[in-house]
Amino acid sequence: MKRTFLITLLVVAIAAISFAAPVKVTMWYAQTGIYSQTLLDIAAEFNKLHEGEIEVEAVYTGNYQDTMQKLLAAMVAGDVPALAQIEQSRIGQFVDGGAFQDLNYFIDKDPEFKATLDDFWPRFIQANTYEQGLLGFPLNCSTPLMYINRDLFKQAGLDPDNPPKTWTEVYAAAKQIKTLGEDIFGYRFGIDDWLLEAYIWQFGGQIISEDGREMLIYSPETVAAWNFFQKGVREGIFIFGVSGGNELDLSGRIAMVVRSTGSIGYLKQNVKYDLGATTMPGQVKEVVPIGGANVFMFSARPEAEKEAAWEFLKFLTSTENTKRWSLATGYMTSRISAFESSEIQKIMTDDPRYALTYQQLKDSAVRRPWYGPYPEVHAMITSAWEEVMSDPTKDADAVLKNLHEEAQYVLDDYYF
Amino acid sequence: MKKLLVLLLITAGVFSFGQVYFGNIHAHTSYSDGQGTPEEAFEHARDSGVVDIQAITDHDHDLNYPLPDGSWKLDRIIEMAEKYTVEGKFIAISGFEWTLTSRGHITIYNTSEWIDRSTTDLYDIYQWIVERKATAQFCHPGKKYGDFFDFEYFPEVDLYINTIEVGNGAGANSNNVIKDEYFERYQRALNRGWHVGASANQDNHHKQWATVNDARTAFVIDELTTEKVYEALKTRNIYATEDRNAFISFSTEGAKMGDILYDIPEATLKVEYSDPGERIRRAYIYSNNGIMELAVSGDEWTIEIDVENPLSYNWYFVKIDQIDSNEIVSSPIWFQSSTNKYLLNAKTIDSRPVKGLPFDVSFDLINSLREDQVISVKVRSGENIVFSKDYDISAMTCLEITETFDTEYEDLAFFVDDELAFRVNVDFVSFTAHLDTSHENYFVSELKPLTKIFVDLGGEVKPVIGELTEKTTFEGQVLILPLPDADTFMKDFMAISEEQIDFIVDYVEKGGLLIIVLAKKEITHPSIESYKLQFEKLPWVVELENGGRSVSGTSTRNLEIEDGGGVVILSWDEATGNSVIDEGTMGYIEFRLGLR
Repeated sequence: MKRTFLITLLVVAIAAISFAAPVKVTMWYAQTGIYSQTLLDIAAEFNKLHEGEIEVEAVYTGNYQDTMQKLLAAMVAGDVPALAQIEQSRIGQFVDGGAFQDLNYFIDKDPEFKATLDDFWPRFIQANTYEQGLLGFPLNCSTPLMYINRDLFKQAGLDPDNPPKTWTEVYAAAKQIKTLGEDIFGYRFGIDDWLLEAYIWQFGGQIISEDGREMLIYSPETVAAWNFFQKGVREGIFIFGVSGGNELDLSGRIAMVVRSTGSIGYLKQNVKYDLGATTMPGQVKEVVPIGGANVFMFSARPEAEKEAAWEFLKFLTSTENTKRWSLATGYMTSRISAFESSEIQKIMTDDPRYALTYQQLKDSAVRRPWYGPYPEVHAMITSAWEEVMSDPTKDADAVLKNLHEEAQYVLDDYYF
Repeated sequence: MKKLLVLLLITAGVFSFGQVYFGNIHAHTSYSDGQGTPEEAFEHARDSGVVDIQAITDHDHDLNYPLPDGSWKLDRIIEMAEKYTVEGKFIAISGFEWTLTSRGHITIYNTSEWIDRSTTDLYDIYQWIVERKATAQFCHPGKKYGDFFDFEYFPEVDLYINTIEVGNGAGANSNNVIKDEYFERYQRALNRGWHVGASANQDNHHKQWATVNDARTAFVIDELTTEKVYEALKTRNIYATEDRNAFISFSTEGAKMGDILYDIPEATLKVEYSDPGERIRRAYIYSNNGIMELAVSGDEWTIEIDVENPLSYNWYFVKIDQIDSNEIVSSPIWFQSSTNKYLLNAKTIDSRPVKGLPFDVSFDLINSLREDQVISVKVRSGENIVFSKDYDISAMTCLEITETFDTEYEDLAFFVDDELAFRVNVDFVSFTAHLDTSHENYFVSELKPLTKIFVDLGGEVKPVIGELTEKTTFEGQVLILPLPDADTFMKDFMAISEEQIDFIVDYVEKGGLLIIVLAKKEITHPSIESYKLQFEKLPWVVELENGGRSVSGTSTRNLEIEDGGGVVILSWDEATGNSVIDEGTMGYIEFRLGLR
């Protein structure tokens, strides 16, 4: 009797062991090229370390917008992945829908990790903190920098080591630059969404209330901001374009342009002029948006899966891996210790342009609007901006007033 | 019996209209920013039935990253090209695209190594191509990606870059592949001296190599071999077509499309077209001496045109617009002087020089001999010699020359060793007026009535954008200075600097005409003081009043500077056409401009 029992136990045990498949964790991500390569490498390494226990599969789900759409659909279908990389301004509906796991649940059970929480850049943690808790970790974050063509500066009699710090100074410098030729422009801009927010904030305006329910965009400050850029275009010293911006930046005909810190590597490799960089100008305020994306966990997954996902999250955002990510891609490290590592510090010394974004992170970087209806509102803002900038005779005040009203309807619709 | 008949018909067709093969020689795979592999690409193109020749030209910098198995991408592309090439059936070509936006992109074929834009600039890649005697192509030329420094010419490099894309694009609509901008740049390249033929390629980035639309490059060769394909590229025996199978032939006695002939003062050009079922809408011969429309129609025709070759350097190519808006562009035939001395691209630096003042002229001198030569340039207008100089030009060199001419003749003929090389018609103006817009006074549309007056008087009005500089001021005979807009929200920029005041005063004292337009609205901002200072520094007793709206201390608003120029003060209403400028003032303006 006992023997049979023992044998049964043994059989069951063997069965249990052979059928104990690794826990599968799916992560959806939204970038290609070197970014996807790095993520896939990190996942592969994690899988090796946790062979038999946890298997992470990283799946490319299109760009930021496409990934957001797919996740929304998955939310409805009850079929979300465990983890996802989601762009800063596109998380509203997930937050409102309670789709994200409050990571504090895992942090509180994990004192070893909890001790490292302070090692994340505070503003990134702030940016991921909501009413519902700490919902995400920084993954690939950036701030915008102003890149300058030092050759053009010198030719125009301007000091490239003393670049403009305010938009008024940009305008003044741009006027000088313009004397170099009809085909040369002082400042180039387009319809990059995070920059449209920055311009408004820097002139003292606001876009949307803290609770995400009220549009605040139509104000003398915002009108002033839009009039400023429109004036530059009208007078021929700024250049605006919906497309072809990158090629203009490479052409050597643009003296100043604002782009992500992530562009440093790309521009260094591709431009044949002396590339300078500085912090993004302010006007009434010095403030820049945090761009890029964070990584989130979906609460609807089974407990075992979430535990496994937590393990991967820790690995992904470890000092070693955030350093690796930053080295490979040019995005900022998520952790201070990674920033302080010798490899990253060497980059800061070899090329001080890389340090600018960290300076902005400490001084002036803020979370972008993130609310549920915001992606739709943002598309409307972009459209209105394009209208005003492509036709410098358009009345910015009237366009903004109208935009404010229409956007308010969208908010009202969403919340009531 | 039937079989024989069919065979005869096909053969007859071939003999009447020649043989042509089609190629797509600019395309990408996942080895750079495209999709799929070179193997897939060559296979797809081969099996498509619409091309006989396919090249893979992935981006230079992406070739720097090895494949997962450690091998180099270019080696693999070359391997696949060899695997898929079957002489007589399908020619697969390896290549890469040198990608330096701002200079331009160049596809380079059949080299065993590559180099990328991070270590090379334009002159470096030119040297790289020459050293390897590689076959290369100018891609999608234009403002966006670059036009090779406006096609700065190098006779040695010209031997290796033999084609230029007039068509590039992977949109589904074949009509959009040949683009106006590329077509215009093609002519620019020819006018700078490049001997390039016209190609059309899909530049595929999303698979569907050769099949995404109908545009391809046609190779006019009688045998489909690798050797003949490269020969066609080198000798430019190709044409660009948006149509799937249009056939054209362009020839002259002793030469086919892409060839260069020497010392032929007159020639007969022959154009043939065949595309059963597809009629043409229009056909043209473009040349550096003008455009001729051909009196042809239908879906099959031949025409012969007699042409004169008036210059020491002449080129002609054919352009055909089909009824369905597909376009076909041929490579040129050149008729050149055998001296290998050419003068091209002559122009006035200022597009509208002022008559009576010296003006700068630039032109390119080309020595395409492998020996130094002296080029003797004479510029004539009728019998008059306007300019004459000899230049020492090294072997295989193009020099961009700038000279100052002092003539009022409009019709200038440039001769090289007494052969007519180029003609320029100078577009003189009587004077240049600058309209300041750099002091919060951007009133270009409001002041049209005023600027029109100057244009009607035979002058050119140029807005000053950015900053008003001494150079700009002195470059013109008139400076229009409107007072700033009191309502501007950028009040810091309203004031005129003391430096600017000083050179404006200097300008007037040296003979310039200053037109001051009084303020649109009373200026209460402190910047008005700088305009008052301007008035103080001018050698008169006039003062600015009412926030810039009026003046005092003078009974006339036209002021003559002794031994110098003059100043005219206009009210806002007068300058914007809301009230009439009196005859006396108009007379004074004309007098100052030497028009009376």
